[in-house]
Parts: sequence; C-alpha cells; structure tokens
Amino acid sequence: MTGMWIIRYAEIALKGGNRAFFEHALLRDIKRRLTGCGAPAVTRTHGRLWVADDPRHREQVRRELLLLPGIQSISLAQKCANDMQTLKTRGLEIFRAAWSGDEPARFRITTRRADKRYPMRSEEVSRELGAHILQNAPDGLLSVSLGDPELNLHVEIHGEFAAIYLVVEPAAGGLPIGTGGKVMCLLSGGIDSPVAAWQMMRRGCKVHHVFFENRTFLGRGAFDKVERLSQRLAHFQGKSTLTAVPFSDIQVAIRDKCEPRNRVVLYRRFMYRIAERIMRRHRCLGLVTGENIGQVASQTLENLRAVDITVEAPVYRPLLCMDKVQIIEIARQIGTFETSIEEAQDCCSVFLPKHPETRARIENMEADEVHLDVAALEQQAIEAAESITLS
Amino acid sequence: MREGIVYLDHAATSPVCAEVAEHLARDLVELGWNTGTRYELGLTARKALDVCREQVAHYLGCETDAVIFTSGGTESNNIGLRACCGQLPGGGVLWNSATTHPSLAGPVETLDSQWEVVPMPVGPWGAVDVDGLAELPTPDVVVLEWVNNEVGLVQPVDDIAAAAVAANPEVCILVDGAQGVGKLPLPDMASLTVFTFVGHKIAAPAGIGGMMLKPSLKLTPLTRGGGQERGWRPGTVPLPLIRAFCNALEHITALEAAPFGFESFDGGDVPAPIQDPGGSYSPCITLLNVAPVEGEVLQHHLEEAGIFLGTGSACSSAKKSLSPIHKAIGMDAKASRCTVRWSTFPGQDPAELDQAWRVLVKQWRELKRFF
Ligand SMILES: Cc1ncc(COP(=O)(O)O)c(C=O)c1O
Repeated sequence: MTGMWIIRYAEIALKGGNRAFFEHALLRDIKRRLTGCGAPAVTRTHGRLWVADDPRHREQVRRELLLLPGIQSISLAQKCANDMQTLKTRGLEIFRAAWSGDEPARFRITTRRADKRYPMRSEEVSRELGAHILQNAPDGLLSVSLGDPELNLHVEIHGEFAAIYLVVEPAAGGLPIGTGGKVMCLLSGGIDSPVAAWQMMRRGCKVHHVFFENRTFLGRGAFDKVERLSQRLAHFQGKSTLTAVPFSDIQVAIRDKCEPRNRVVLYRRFMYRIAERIMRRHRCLGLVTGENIGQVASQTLENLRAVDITVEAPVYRPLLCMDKVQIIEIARQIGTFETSIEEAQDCCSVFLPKHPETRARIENMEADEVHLDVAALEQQAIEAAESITLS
Repeated sequence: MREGIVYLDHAATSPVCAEVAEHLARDLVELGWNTGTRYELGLTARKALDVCREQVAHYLGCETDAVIFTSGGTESNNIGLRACCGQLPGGGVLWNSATTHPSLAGPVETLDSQWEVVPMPVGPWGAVDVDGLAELPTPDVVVLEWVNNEVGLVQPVDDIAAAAVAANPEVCILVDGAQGVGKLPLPDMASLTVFTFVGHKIAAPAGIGGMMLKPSLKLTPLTRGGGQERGWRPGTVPLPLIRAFCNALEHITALEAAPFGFESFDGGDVPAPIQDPGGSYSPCITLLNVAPVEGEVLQHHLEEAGIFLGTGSACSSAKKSLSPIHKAIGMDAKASRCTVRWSTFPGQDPAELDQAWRVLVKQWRELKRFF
C-alpha cells in the first residue's frame, strides 16, 4: 500500500476548452512549490493530480497544497489493488486507524467508480465494505448514517488500483496563478495589502507590486518589510517585481502647500496616478489595493471616489467589504501576518494632519493640487523609481 | 570601518578594527586548536589562552583565575546573576538598579519569589542615591550597571559597593561593565563579585565576552558540559575570538576617550545633551534632546548624509515602550522620541565629529519646521 495525495480542481474542470491549459499551469505550480519538499512525483490521471506521499515531508506538502490557487481540495489516500478482498482488508485498516474502537460512531462508505468496467456497482461495493466493517466492530458501537456520518470512508476505483481515504480537506480554491492576467498591487507593509494581493493571485492573477517610500523621513525599514512581504508572495506566484517609488518630495510638497485636512487623500491621488503609469510599463491590466470601507477614518466611499477618479485603470479592492478578523485570518494562513505587524515606521506624524478629511470632494482636491507642479513631481518620482525582481 | 561614513553608534556595537581583524584572520587558521587537548598544538593553544586570561586579569586588577570567557554581555550577565543568587538557595534580598540593560533586567525579573527585589533609590538624573541605600533592607545581592548604555550615566560603583559591604560583608555584587570597559577608568574590583564585559563594544567581533567572577563562588552554572572555564561556561574555548578580544582591549586602552563639546558654532540654537550638569558621564555616550524633531526622522536624514547614529538603545529602539532610564529621568514618550544617541569610539577623529555635528545641527534646524 502506498500513500498518495489526491488533488482535485473542480473549477478548472468547468473551464471546458481551456482545460489542458489550466491543468498544465497547475501541474507546473505544484511541481515548483514542492521542489523544497523532496520533489515528489506528480502525475495526472482521471481528472485529478496525484502526488506521491512521503511521510518525512507530509506536513510541509499539506501546507503547500492547501495554499495553492487552483486546488479545490486534497486528500491523503492509500493506494491498493482494487479487488473486493483487498478493499475489505485495507478499508478496515484505514477505518480502524481513524476510529478508536471504543466510542460510538456514525459512518458511511462513499464509493466512486472511475472505471465503469469494474464488475460491481458503486452501491454494491459500499454495502459490502460497510457490512465488513460492521462485522469487525464491537457490537452496537457503529451505526450507518448516509446523511450525517462522522467518518466517511471514500473508495475510488480506478482501472488498475483503488484509492481509499477518510478526509477531504478544502484548499484555497480559485485558479492557477498566471491564468488570469497581470495586475499591480500598492503594497504598504501593513496587514491588508498583502492579503489583497493574495486574493488576486487566488483568482489566477500574477501580481506585481509598487511601494511608495519616504526614505528620507522613515529610513529603509519599511522597504525591508515590504520586500520580505513581496518575497513571501513570490513563494506562491514565482517571479514578480517590486518597484519602490521615492515619495518624500511629494509628501513634503503636499504638506507645505496644501490644506492639512486634504493631505491623506492627496497622497493617495499621487500614488494612484504614479502606480497607473508604472503598471503600464509592466503591462498590467489594473491596480489592486487593500482598501476596505471604514477601516480607517479616511477610507470612506467619498475618499475612495476622490482617489479613484484620478486613474483610468480599473482598481480592484478585494478586501473592500471584508472584516478585519477575516483579513487577519487570511494573513496568518498565507504567512504574511507576522511580518506585517513588525514595528517599522510606516507613516510619520509629520505628514498626518490632526483632522483628516473623511468626505473628500473632488473639486476641492483638484483645486488644492493647483498649488503643486503635479506633472513634475510625478515625473521625478517615476524616474527615480527602482525595481527589484523577486522569485 | 567602511570608508566615507561617520559612525556614531558605538554604544550599539563597534565594527572590528583592521588590526584586530588581521590578527583574527591569521589566528583562525593558525591557532584554531582545541585548548583541551594534550598534543603540542593544543598545548600551544592552551598557553595562548593563559596569556589572554592574564592580560585581562591584569587590565581588570583581579586574580587570573577569576577571568571567564563567554559569548558576550548577555550570557555574562545571565551567568553572573545565577552565580550570585545561586550562593543563597533559600533566596534573599536583591538591590536592583531600575535602569539596567534587558540582559540583566530580564534575568532579575524571572527570579523566583524567594527573592525580594528592591529598587535602589535614584536621583533625578538616574544616579543611585548612595545615602538612601542605608534605608533599604540588608542586601544579599546587588545588581547594577556601571555605565548606562542609553544616556552614558556613570554609576558611583565604588560608593554603592562600599555601602552594600558595610551592610553585609558577605554581599554578592554584580556590575555590568559592557559600556565602560576600555573607555573609562575601572571601578575597584576588590569588593565586586562579578563584573561583566563584551567584545563588540570595544571593536572585537560579536560572539566574545567575559566576566570577572570571584573564584570562591560555589559553582552554579547556567549550562552543563565539558567543564571549560572552570565549569562556568562549558564548551570548546574560542581561542581566536579571545585573542581578538585581547588585541582589541590593548588597542582601545591606548586611545583616549575625549568628550565632545556639542557647542554652537554660530551662536544659533543647537540640540542639548540630556545630562546632569554636575553628574558623571561617559565621554563616549551622549543622549541629545532634539525636540521638537523626532529622533528617528533626524536619524534617517543623517543617514542620507552618511552619518549613522542611534535613537535610544539599539535593542529597544524598534519598540514603542519607554526605556527604563528615560522613565527614570522623567521623560515621557514624546520626549523620549525626540532624542538621538551620539556614541563615539575613543580616538575618533575630532574633525570628523565636528563635521558630523555641523551636519546634525543643520538638519535639525531645517527639520524643526515640520514639527
Ligand atoms: C549595558 C549593556 N549590557 C549588556 C549588553 C549586552 O551585550 P550583548 O548584546 O552583546 O550580549 C549591552 C549591549 O547591547 C549593553 O549595552
């Protein structure tokens, strides 16, 4: 008997004509992500992918697979011969390994016959295997429950073998990265923006990053953090870029020349416009932010509109309506949380007004920007921007 | 030292100087033998180790046997506290300094409840009020730092030790010497039980430190092993690092630590040292009040000019909590944020310091408008 991970990818299967393309992308991602876990063999048959199990790497492989966009669910199965006698012996073994044998339990068998030439029908296999398990259990402890089982022993019958398992673990879902086009994420170093990037990656997008850096006032600590965050995201998506745009001069100009209450919205208008230009260089199809309605006082619909209006590109905000606890939960799962909460100066009291605008009006913002040489400030920042490649 | 920068964060650490590095590179290859072996190479190494121990003992003014080498200040402080408190298994009274480095404050905090930890009274600038010590319960252990790593304050170690010994002749006294060794005239070792030091503050590599530990103490080590360093710090002895430490010590003691004036060069406003005008301070560490400018903002502006200095202590500057010494001298969170720590190495070029000071003042004046 050998262990195998069964990898299901329901959503790709729906994609009809593109199926081979998606499967290929997923296969490539799995192989890449598992090179650090003993590079197990990965094979494709019967509308699933199969990864050889090696107990020494099992937990690491599980963690990787659960966070791999495009995978619907995984199961650690035992592979064995598919004759009824073997199914009984192995099935009972696997069942007994999961059930203590002295507590009552409801169970069922779920058989799926991929090979329709198999001499028994699925229900017959289930019935016979179920009866075998009942016979071998102490009287009265086990009961069959088709609708609400505590233990569900799955048997998949394939041409030359069967796979038996108890647990189906839901994975990240979504689509393989790279099958959905490229976007550019405004990464800040906080908890939210890496999660926003991940949400896009989960739907198949490749995400490049842009970071606005006030190095003069805040030093390199924030960039260091953002670099590590984007490195972590590159673990999922492979090669991508991080562009650092110097932002000190723009912040100083806004601080010196504009209404204090408008500052935060004005900073973001500059960020959006610059990000849009950098996005074009990387042939991305839209911007991504971690904005979330009401999360901070300045993230109101009015303020978002006053920022959004500055760009033509679509701005995707996958966290817009999520709650902070949900966002933190995902940040923990994808391993960005710990880095995000490290203390680093990410905004300086020098640049924050006492009373930031919460209901920005577009006319007011435009009127205030007249005090600035917007084009020159943006051009300088873009020329001084530096990109690094992550992989 | 890297060319083209002015490094003013020696209280955090000092890069290894070229002479020490050169010797070390050679020793790593030529003297990397196990000092515990009996063949000729090992015996040579053992002799070199003895020479080092004598050299440090001579510098400190203590018995050769009292010198123990460790991995650094943190380890020395932990071993030292265990040694002092370990002499009294039933616990007792510990006079504590409220302003010690976390490597000493940490182990004191985790002492069991048999120990009554009483803070020593301090004056408005953080110096221990020696007269006030008479009011405290009789001490079994006294813990303090010699030179504070954040404000450069020098504690009256000899007077404190005398007061403690007067109260209890058997008292164990532990002094953290990390920031003073090689830079200031030493306190009297005779009445101290443990005196700790660390290499990377005197331009030896990080990873080597040591302590004076009275040979009469009953062995209560932190770690158990092969019995090296009289059993206090078992593990194969890193002879090349110990030699580097001794080289660095020889090097630094030949240099003079001169205070810097922080004076106005044009009659205009300049940041002021946060110091008791009548107090005793290390010439190598000065905390400057840069209010209203935030220390970290000034730090990053200076960084762009190739000048590197600290805010608060390197170990705690990323934390938002107020450091104990800042609290002790009456600073609040805002005042504490508006400081930078200027820390130099003995013999550092006065022209370089002067130039850095001018840049600092200029930047500070320009930044004031933002706050
Ligand atoms: C006063 C003091 N004690 C102890 C230490 C600890 O030294 P290390 O961090 O090398 O263990 C330091 C340095 O950081 C220090 O300044």
